[in-house]
Amino acid sequence: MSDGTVVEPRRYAHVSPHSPIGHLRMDAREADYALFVRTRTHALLRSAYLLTGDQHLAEDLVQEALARTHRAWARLERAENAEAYARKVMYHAQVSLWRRPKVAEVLPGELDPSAGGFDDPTEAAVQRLALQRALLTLSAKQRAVIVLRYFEDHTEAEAAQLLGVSISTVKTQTGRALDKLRTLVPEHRSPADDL
Amino acid sequence: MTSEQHGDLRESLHELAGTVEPADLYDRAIRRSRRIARREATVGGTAAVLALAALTSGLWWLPARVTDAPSGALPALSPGPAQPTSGPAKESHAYASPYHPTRSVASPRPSPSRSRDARRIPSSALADLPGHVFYERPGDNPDVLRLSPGDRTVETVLSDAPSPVGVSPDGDKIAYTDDGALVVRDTEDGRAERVADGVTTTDQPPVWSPTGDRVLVDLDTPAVVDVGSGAITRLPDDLETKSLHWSANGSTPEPTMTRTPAPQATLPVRGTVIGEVATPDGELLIRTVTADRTRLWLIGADNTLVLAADEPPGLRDLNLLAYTR
Repeated sequence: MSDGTVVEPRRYAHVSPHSPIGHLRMDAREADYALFVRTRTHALLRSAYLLTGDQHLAEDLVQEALARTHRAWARLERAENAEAYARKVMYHAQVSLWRRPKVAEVLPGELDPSAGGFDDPTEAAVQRLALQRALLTLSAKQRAVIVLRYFEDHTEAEAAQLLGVSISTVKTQTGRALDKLRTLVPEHRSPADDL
Repeated sequence: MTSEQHGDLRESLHELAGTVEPADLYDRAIRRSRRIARREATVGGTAAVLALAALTSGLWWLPARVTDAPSGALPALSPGPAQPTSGPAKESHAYASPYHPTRSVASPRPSPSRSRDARRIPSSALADLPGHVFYERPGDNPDVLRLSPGDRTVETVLSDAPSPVGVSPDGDKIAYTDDGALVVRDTEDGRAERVADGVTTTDQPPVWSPTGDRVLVDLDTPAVVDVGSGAITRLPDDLETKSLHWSANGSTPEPTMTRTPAPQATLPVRGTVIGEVATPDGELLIRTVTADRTRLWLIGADNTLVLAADEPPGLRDLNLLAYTR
């Protein structure tokens, strides 16, 4: 990098883009990043889909998380770090106090989990739809704790750390979210829940 | 509640998640990453010039709201590096004027009173930096760290900040918003106090008055919060300009709206500028990066270079947030 007369992006600042070695290192990094994206995008999309309830919004969310991860790639040394970073970006984007999270819209009249008979072959699909809509009636934070705790199997402490909130907040939000889900998707009430 | 009790919820979540269609997002992510980089570069260059403007006009700069939100993508998650001094969009200005340590620094900045101490030799010892430097970790909920140059210690003064933060001019307090309230936290003992409710600022970090007793926040309209009483005074929002300044001595009861000139200025620093903050006293701390090191440059109110020192290692990935007494 020449003594700058322009303010350049900070990434790879210590590797000169004009030296052959710099190119090699950048190429290797880009290859690592490309591999990360190809192998982990779908896992991220699955979580994003639960968070947003919509294919396109999920793709947008993952795209943003991957872009932020790309910006930070130079200091994320291992692939595990990269995925954790991308997930943190995703969750923060969805629970941020400052930005209205993007989620699919729910029409109130459509929330009828009893639609579809017990023996209906489409029952599974109906159930999925009911859960999806029930999830979307939760607050962004409630939805995030549900996905973190019951989809990604994080502990309460890990979920708190990822969301940047206290453990008691995670407990409270989880409790409220489960109550709401039980109301909206009664089929999820298991005998143990009634104890 | 045990994990077994929610087995069916787990199963349903996995079924539901499984219905998402695969997508190849590599190209989209790279394009978005480049857009972020371009914005960081533009805003970074602009910010330095505007910080200078604030400095030369003796006013404290309130950065404008970050409005760049490309359609089809989420809003910017991390205005990070641009935040402390981001301003309205203007063409970025180049930095020039390499600093030659073998001769005294003659700042090419327009200066009404040329320094009488122009032959002063700048220090190269970080320990000579008299104030404290604050950094934030890039991201949506940044950690805020404080570098004490005297003993080269770096400590985290706030973890996972729930909003953009503003550091008071004396470095003793950090203001941020949390759960609809303006919170002021003591950087020494960590005590946090809810100063005023009903403050849900957006991307705009709170900006302290030079006297440290009031904070400018961005509600729907700009507003001043008195830190002692918690009283909120809304400012008229009928001016066309987007720039707000605290008057230099902080005595003005309300920030004044002024247009900021865009000075053609160069700085006596070497390297790529990646951060710059001004103090109410008129000092300017510049952060530069070259191939092998990150440096801090303190430029005094008289436009002379006071210090140019290597930054301690380990801070490279952080963003410069503030320089305080």
